[in-house]
Amino acid sequence: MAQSLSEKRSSRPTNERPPYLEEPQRYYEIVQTKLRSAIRSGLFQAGTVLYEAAVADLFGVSRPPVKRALQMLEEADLIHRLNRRGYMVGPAGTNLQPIRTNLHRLSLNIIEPLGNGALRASWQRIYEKVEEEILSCCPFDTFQISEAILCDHYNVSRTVIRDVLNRIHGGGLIEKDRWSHWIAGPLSARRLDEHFAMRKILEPAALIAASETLTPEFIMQRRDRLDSSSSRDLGEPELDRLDRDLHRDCVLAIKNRRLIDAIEQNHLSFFINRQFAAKICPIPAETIRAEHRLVFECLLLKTPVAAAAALEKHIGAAASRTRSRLKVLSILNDVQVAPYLARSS
Amino acid sequence: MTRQSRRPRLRVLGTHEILIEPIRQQAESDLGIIVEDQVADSMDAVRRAVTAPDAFDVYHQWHTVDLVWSSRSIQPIDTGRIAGWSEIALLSKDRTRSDRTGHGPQVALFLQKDDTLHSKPSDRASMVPTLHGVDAPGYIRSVRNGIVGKEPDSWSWLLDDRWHGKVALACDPSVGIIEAALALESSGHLEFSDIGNLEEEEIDSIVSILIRKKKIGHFRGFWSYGKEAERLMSRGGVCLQSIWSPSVFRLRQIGVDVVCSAPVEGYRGWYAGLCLSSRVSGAVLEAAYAYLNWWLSGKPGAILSRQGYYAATPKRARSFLDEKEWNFWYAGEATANDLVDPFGRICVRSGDIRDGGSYEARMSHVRVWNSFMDEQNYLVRRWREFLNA
Repeated sequence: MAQSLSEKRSSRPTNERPPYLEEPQRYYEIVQTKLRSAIRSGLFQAGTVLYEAAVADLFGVSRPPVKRALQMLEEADLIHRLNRRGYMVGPAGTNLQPIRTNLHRLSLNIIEPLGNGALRASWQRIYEKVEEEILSCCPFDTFQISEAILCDHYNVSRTVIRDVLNRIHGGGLIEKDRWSHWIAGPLSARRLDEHFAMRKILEPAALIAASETLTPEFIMQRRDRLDSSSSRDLGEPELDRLDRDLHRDCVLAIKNRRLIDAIEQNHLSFFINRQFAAKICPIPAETIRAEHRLVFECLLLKTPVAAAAALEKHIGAAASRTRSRLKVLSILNDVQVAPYLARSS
Repeated sequence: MTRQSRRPRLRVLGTHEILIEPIRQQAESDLGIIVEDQVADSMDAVRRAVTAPDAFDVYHQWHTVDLVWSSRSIQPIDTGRIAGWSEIALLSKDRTRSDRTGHGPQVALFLQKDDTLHSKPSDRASMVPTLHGVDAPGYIRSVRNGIVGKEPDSWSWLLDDRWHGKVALACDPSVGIIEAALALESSGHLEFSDIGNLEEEEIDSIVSILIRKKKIGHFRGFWSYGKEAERLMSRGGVCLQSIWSPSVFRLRQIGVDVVCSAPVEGYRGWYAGLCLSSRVSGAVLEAAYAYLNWWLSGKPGAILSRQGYYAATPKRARSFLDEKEWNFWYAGEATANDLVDPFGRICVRSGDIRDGGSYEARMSHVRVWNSFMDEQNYLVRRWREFLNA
């Protein structure tokens, strides 16, 4: 019997944080850091009024992280409470004249970090990781997801976790049981077939659209990479690279975001093959290389309809191969899963 | 170095019921090799075959051939090197019930050009079929005393309230789900589009009923191999359960009068065959081919016929059985003498007739073959929920 959720929760060291969360990326942290340096450098003179709403507007974020950042600056005695809606730069007890200014006019160098990805929403920071952890477990049993341990694990709020889980639910990977617990797995061949069926419909259409923008050099580079290794077998990283070359770099070279999202929701199929390559045995390279090569050759010949047909055939053949591999995964039992996942059985 | 240690050593992975000591000794004596048996229950054996192809040379498998092929644990067998290949029974499609389903021995037998397995003959095979047979529920003879009239034997009895608390099932999910499905189909609780290849929802329905039955105490126990099933019936208070042929005869030896039923719905068919590890080569590969050929010679088939199995080459096995043995085990006739099992112990008494009748009568009544269904992964997980419920 697997360890219960409560046992798992209590046994996890509280100071343990995944390495990719080491960088401070939370909204309140960035707002606080930027304001602090603006005050210290003198850009925000003593007396400058900082209303929550104006600061939130300046950074393009909601009010709660701004409120938290301002409280931290107040605790550091860099600002003090002016009234219910805002603060004034400078320590409390000083008799300053309030300077009410349009914060947007000040050169804060704030806009740049907002646009470069540092300020990703909390759910975005962990979405891919949680999804991957759920994908990793779903072939192997029915797992109950603990929101509380998930919050602890990633050091985020319930709201953030619910955002993440709702989005994963939208992709069909998890569902709620009759007691309203989030449940992942067990993965059925039917579900896998559905993912392949969607890819078979969507990817050829996307490839035809993408063929207008793909350059011969770009395609040749990928075709030549097929032959760069003479290995008869594909391990997990090599398989991943091969799949990305065709199914992401070429098929998804389109502008239609909705189509990209729809295709990406079916990446479970790639995951099963990667799990198989990692846990059972490497995957024979010859057939996959031949199928990919045919798609590239058709693209180079400027026959996108033929390329789409070759891609459709490849996805159909991959469906059959992957289904056999999922059957083999049935022999594995005690796989390592994330601490917020507990076996239902 | 001793003379003995220069003999090739062949590591054979397989189940308790097939890798018995008389077979191992006979192989060593006939082939001049050392045979090292690696015995496991069916699920453990396939797990070892998939995850450690280095650790065995020959795998005596049981309806798992497509799995070990997908995991590249086995290598193709050159049928040209197998004497008696053309004599293997069940390669033709005769004796087939119209509603028979599941993967029979021929479905994944031959390697095709695209590296997949199929029934279309080629000169490379995934396995050498060695044995086959049928299984059905077994029950203590006194169970019949409580039945009024001429009610025929049925799979539905496994889930019948009349034997509440006295029923056992096999732990193996592939076997267990088929038997439960046969029981529920027969009792009219559920219908299946293909009982040999169940759908996700069908598995859910079966497992839900089984969990409820388990929670109200219908099942007395579960077993992973024959000896466990025998203990459940001899000392565990079980009067009705899925059971394998050798167990029926071993129980009779110790005075437990067990009937191997002939269910009106048909039997669950099974087959076994030998696969070559993908890693075996050189002198050991030669020894492995010799071992494969030996299995079709008739001698091992005859030995295991004495516990109720059928040899893949029945005509060859017949030459190693005496007439009375052949008449009981294959012809379905009453025996005029006591007969012994593979260990030389009396297992059939003079006057007995085999339950279900002759080879033809029993094998032509297969309703569904053991197989790894398309939904095997889903099934294994849901089955575990049932066993842990």
